[in-house]
Amino acid sequence: MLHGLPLLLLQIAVVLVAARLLGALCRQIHQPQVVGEMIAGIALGPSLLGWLAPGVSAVLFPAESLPSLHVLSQVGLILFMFLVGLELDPKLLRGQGETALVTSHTSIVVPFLLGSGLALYLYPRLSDASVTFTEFALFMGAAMSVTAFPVLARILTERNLLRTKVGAVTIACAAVDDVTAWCILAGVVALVRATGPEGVLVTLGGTFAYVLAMVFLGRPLLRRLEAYYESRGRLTPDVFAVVLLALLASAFTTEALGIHALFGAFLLGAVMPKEKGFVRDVTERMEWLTVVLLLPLFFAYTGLRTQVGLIDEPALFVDAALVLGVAVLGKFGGSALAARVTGLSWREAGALGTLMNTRGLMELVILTIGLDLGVISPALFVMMVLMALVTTFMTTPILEAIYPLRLIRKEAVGEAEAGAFTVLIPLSLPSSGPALLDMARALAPPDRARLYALHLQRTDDARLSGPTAEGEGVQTVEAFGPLLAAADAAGVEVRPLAFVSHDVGGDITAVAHAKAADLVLMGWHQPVLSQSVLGGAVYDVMKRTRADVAVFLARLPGPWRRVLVPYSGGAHDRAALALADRIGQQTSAEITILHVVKPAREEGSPRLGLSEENPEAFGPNVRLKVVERADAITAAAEEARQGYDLVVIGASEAWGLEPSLFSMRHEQLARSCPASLLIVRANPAAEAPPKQPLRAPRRARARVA
Amino acid sequence: MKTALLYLALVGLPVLGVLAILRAGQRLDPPVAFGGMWRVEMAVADSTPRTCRPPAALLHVEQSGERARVRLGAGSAVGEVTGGRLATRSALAVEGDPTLRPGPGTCAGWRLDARPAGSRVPVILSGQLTPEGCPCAPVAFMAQRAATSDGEDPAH
Repeated sequence: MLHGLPLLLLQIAVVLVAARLLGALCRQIHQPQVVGEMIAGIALGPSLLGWLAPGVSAVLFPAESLPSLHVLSQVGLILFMFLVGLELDPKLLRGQGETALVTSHTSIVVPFLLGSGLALYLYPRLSDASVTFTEFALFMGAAMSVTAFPVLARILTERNLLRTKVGAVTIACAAVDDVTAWCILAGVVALVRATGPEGVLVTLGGTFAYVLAMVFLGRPLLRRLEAYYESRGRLTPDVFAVVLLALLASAFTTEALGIHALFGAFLLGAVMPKEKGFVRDVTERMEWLTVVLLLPLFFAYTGLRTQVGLIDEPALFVDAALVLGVAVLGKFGGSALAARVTGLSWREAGALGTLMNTRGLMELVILTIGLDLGVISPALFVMMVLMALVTTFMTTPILEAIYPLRLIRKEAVGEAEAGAFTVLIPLSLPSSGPALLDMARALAPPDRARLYALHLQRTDDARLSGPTAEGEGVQTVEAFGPLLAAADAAGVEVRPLAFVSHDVGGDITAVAHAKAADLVLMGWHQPVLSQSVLGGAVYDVMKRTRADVAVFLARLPGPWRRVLVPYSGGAHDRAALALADRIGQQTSAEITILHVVKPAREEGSPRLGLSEENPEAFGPNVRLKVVERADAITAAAEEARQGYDLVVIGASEAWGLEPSLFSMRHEQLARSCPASLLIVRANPAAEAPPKQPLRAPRRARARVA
Repeated sequence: MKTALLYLALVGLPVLGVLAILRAGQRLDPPVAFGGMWRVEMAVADSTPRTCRPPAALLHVEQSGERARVRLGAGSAVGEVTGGRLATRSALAVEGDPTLRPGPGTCAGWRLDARPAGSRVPVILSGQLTPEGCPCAPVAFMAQRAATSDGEDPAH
C-alpha cells in the first residue's frame, strides 16, 4: 500500500484529473468550471467513491494521509483569498450611487436575518451545547450572506454583463458583501476561539489595529514596492518573493491574533494598490497554480468531509430543503427587492438577485472554517455544502431565463456606442507592433480606446528546462518593445498581457472574451503549413472569437488619406464599413465604398442600387462608387490600384477572402493589392441579421459619385 | 430622504430583527455536547473472560445535534442524544475488528449508553456497554475527553 510522498502525488493526480474532467463537463452544459470541481471533490469523498468502492477509497485516501492534503489545501486557500482580495477594487463602488449602497447592504442583512432566524429552529436540532446560540446564529447569518465574488465576476465577464448597469451594480454589491461577510466571520471566529469576554475584546481590538496598520502603513509600503516594479518594468522574482513574504506574514498575524489566516491573506490583497500593472502581473503569476492545482485539493478535502449519507431521514431532508429555501429567499429575494425599489427594472433586479445568490467556493471556505471550529455539525455542514452547490448551479440557467444572452447583446450594442472601444492586439512579431498600434489608434479617440497587447509564447517554443521568470520577462519585454515605444511616443496607454500558451487561437479567443474586446486586431502572419493569410491561428481566432476580428497587412504607413471599402452587403462587409467609418472619423480620410453589381442584362442580378436607396446616408468624406462587373474580385483589385492607401474589406467569399485552414486558392485580392489591407470578419452574432440596404454608420450628408 | 427611509426599512429593520433573534435564542436548550474523542476505561474484573471484554479503544462521537455517529474501535453505530444521554440505536457493528469478531462464545456487538458527568459540555462521561448475542454481563465505563487537532480524521 502506498504512503508518504508517493501517495500524496497519486492523490493530487487523481484530484486534478477528476476536477478537470468534471469541470470540462460542466463547461459543456454552460456551468462555471468551479461547479464541476466542487462536484469532483464530493465525488471523491465518502458520499460517492467511499460508498461505491470503499476499498479504493481507503487505499487512495487513508485517514493518516489526510493531514498532508489538508495543509496543501489550506495553502491553496490562503493564496486564493489573497487573489480574491486583489480583485476587490474600490473603483467598483464608484459611481454606483444609492442603488449599490442600499442593495449591497440589504443583500447582506436580509439573508443574515433569515439565516439567524433559521438558527432558532436548527440550533436545538443540529447543534449542541458546545456552541452558544450567538455563535451559531451569527455564523449561520454570515454563511447565508456570502456571495461568490470570483465566480460571479467570471459569470458577468462570460456573459458580457460587466458593462451593463446590472453587472456594475452586482459586482459592487458582491464586493461589499464579501468584505462584510469576512468581517462578521472574523468576529465569530474571535468569539469562538477566545477564552472569555476579555479574550474577545483583545482579539477584536488587535484585529482592528491590524486592519488600520495595513491600510495606513502597509498600503504605502506596497505602493513603494509597486513603484519599484514600475521602475523595472516587469515583475522580478525578488519582488514576487516580497509579495509572497508579505502574504505569509499577514496570514500568520491574523492567525496569531485569533481570527483566521485566510483573513490576513484577504486583507493584504484588498489593500494592495490597484492602479497599475503590478496587481495584474502578480495575479497572473499566482493564479494558475492556485486555481488549477491547489483549489481542487481544497475541494477534495472538503468532499472527504462531506458525508451526504448523514442526511438519511425524511426530517433531515426537510431541514436540507429549508436551508436551501432560506438561502435562496434571503439572498435572491433580499437583493432583488432592494434593487427593484432603488430603480432597476424587474428583469434587472431578478438578474441581480440571481447573481448575488451564487455561493460557490466562498461558501465552502466559510463552511470549512465553521466545521473546523465546531460551530456547525457534520450534518449541517453537508446541508450547507449542498446549498452552495445548488445555488451556484442554478445561477446560469435562471440568469439565462431572466436575462437571456440575446437581450444582453442587444443592450450591449447600445451601450457600446457611447462607451469605450476595446481592441486586443495579439502580437506575434515584435516588428509588427507599431503598425498595428497605428491602426488601433485610427479606430477610436484616445480617451475611448482601450488597447491590450497580447503576446503568447507557444509551449513548443519554451526551453526544455522551462523558462525562468527572468528569461520569460526578457522575452516578453522584447516582444512588446517596439509597440510600447510607439505607444509612449504617441502618449497612448497600452496594457501588455503575456503568458505561455499551448492553444494560441483558443487563448486569444479567451482573452478577447475576458477583456470584452470589440475588435481583435492581428498582424500579417504567414502560417508554417499554409500560404494563406487567413489560415493558422488567424483562422482559429476568426472562427472562435465572439468579437470582430481584423487582420492588418501594413504596406503603406498611416495616416491614410484614401480608403477603399469594397461592399457586397454581407455581415463582414458591414463590419468592414463600420471600421472604415471609424477611421474616417479619426483621420478625416476620404472613404470610397465600392459596390460591384452584376451587369444589368444578367437575369436576377442583385443590383442594390445603393445610390437610389439611401443616397443621403453617408458622411461628407464618404463617396459611393457603383460599378457593373461580372467579376467582383477583379473589379475590387483594379480599383484598389487607383491610389488608395488602405483597403478595408470583409473576410467573405464574395471577395475571395473566406478564412480557411489550408486555403491557397483565395486571397487574390490580398496579394494583388498595393495598399495596406484590413481584412475584417464580423463576430458570429453579427452574421445572423438579414441583409440591409447599405447605410453609412453614423453621419448625415452624402456625396454620391 | 427617500433613500434614507428605504435604507432604514431595508437595512435598519432587519438589523433590529437580528438583535431580537439573538436575544430570543438565549432561551433555547441545545443537546448535551458528546462530540469528540474520548479515552475509555472499562470497569472489568480480572476474572472476566476475554470474550466478554469490550475493546479498550478510543470512543469517537461525531454529533449533529440530536443524532450522532458512534465509533468504538472499528465498530460503529448511529446514536441518539435524548434526555441528556447518548445511546446507540443498535449494537456497534463489529465487522473488520478482529477483537470484536463474533465467534463461539464471543459477543456480536455492544450497545452503548453514556451520560455526562456534570456539565452540558462534559469532559467526563460515564455509562455502560451492554453486550448482544452472548451471555456476558454489561460493562461499566468512564471516558475522558481527549484533545483533538485541527484537520484530524475528516472522513474515516
